[in-house]
Amino acid sequence: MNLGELALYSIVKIAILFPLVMLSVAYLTWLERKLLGRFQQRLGPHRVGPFGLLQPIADGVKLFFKEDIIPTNADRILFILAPVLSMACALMAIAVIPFGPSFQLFGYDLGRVQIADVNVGLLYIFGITSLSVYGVFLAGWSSGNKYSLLGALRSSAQIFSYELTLGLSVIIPLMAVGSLKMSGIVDSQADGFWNWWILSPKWLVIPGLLGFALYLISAFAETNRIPFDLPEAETELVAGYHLEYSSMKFAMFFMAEYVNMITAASIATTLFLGGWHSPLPLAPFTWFPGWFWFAAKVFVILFFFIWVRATFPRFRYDQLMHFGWKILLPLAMLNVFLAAVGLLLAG
Amino acid sequence: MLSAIFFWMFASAACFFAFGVILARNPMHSAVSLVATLIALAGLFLQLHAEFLAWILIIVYTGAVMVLIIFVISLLNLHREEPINLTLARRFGITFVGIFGFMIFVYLFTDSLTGFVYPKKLPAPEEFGSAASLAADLFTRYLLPFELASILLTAAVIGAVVIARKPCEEEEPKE
Repeated sequence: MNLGELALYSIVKIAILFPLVMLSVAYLTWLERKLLGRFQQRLGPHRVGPFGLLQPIADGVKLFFKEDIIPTNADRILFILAPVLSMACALMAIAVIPFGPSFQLFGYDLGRVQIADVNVGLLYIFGITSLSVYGVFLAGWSSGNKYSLLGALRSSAQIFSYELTLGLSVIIPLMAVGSLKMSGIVDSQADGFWNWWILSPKWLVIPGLLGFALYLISAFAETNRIPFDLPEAETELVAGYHLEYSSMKFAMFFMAEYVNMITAASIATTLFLGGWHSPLPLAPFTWFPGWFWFAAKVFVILFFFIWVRATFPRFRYDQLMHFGWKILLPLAMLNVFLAAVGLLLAG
Repeated sequence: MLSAIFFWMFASAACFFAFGVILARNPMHSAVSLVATLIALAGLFLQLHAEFLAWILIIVYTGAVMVLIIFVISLLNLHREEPINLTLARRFGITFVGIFGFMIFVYLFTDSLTGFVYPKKLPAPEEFGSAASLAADLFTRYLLPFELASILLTAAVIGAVVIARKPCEEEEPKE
């Protein structure tokens, strides 16, 4: 494959995946409101279209026609840059996630449903997520509002604290496969759920489960979801870092949060739940295509995200820091140790 | 051809934002320019097949160090730098240091003066820049400098804790 073909195939893949991701974001908001409604014994959106299915589109149109306000005290350049950064970082992480096996389009073999299989895929994801803090922080700082600034400070401290745990929690697939390539990690989990890294073989089962739990918890913190949504705690900070934003700029923060949720769920699926492989290598399971299994696993994790939101109250700030540094981080380090010892024993 | 385009893109971006760091009046704009410079540098690393190093640069410098710097700037509430009034002697000194530094730079990188020969461009080996090859070098050939650096960093962390912690209990007034 020469460079021109590679570029063309990548563009085709982006043209397919980008609208799909944006559509998923729109209907993730619908799903969240519908599920929250059910969890709280009410109906959720049900007026616009059947089952309220047109609600996200109505919301999008509404946000698009809202007045776009830039406050007088705001730092104009950074104020405009911040939502762009948030959205860009959220979308860039999608690039290395393998959504499915090789596929063909009009007789051309386009390779995996993955935009770029870079050989440091996992590091790429951590690099991009570490940049996402700038979107939030610059938004809060440039708004020229004390509540926004407080939200921004909280968020950067929080994302900073939980990033360490996030990075250490994925150590099992990394050490066992010996590669940072996303495709390599997915390929190592073929042929049945007992090969998934969440249920790693023999001595590795404890670090596998613990790593998955640590990953999920720190993913909640990284995506600013309840119980870690202190940067936008509405009872204390009005709305936190996006207080001064309106119209599409606000919508970009909103969409970035949901794209981040999808990304976090996709990474968990890829690293721990076997990616696009079916849970059993038997007939009724293998009839479904790879993308179906990927979507199903991502859906389960997203459902869990929403379920937690409906269940838990918000942490207090000192509890958040205490939990991150004194409980999660030592656990993550212990997990690295357990993984290493387990790998040594397993040979 | 394509790699040349990317090189000039990243290199000019790095220079542009590096000027932004020193010319911006607002400290926050300086810090953000530095972030952009580091990202452009990571882009240049990628071109040299040093993928691992490029992303470590982004994770450590832009993701951690610069976040702390921006944190401090916003806590100190520095909004606009005051114009500095320099005495004539200082202006003279700064100009001298600048010229001297530039001359060292020219001396080092001009082959007509020093006979400095640019290394020939060799094709990078297959595994170059990957995490595995980097680790193999780091934990065998360069083990001693690596461990020394880690001891130094540990010492720095302990020093920071000692400086930052609250005074001992004996020094506090007893109730």
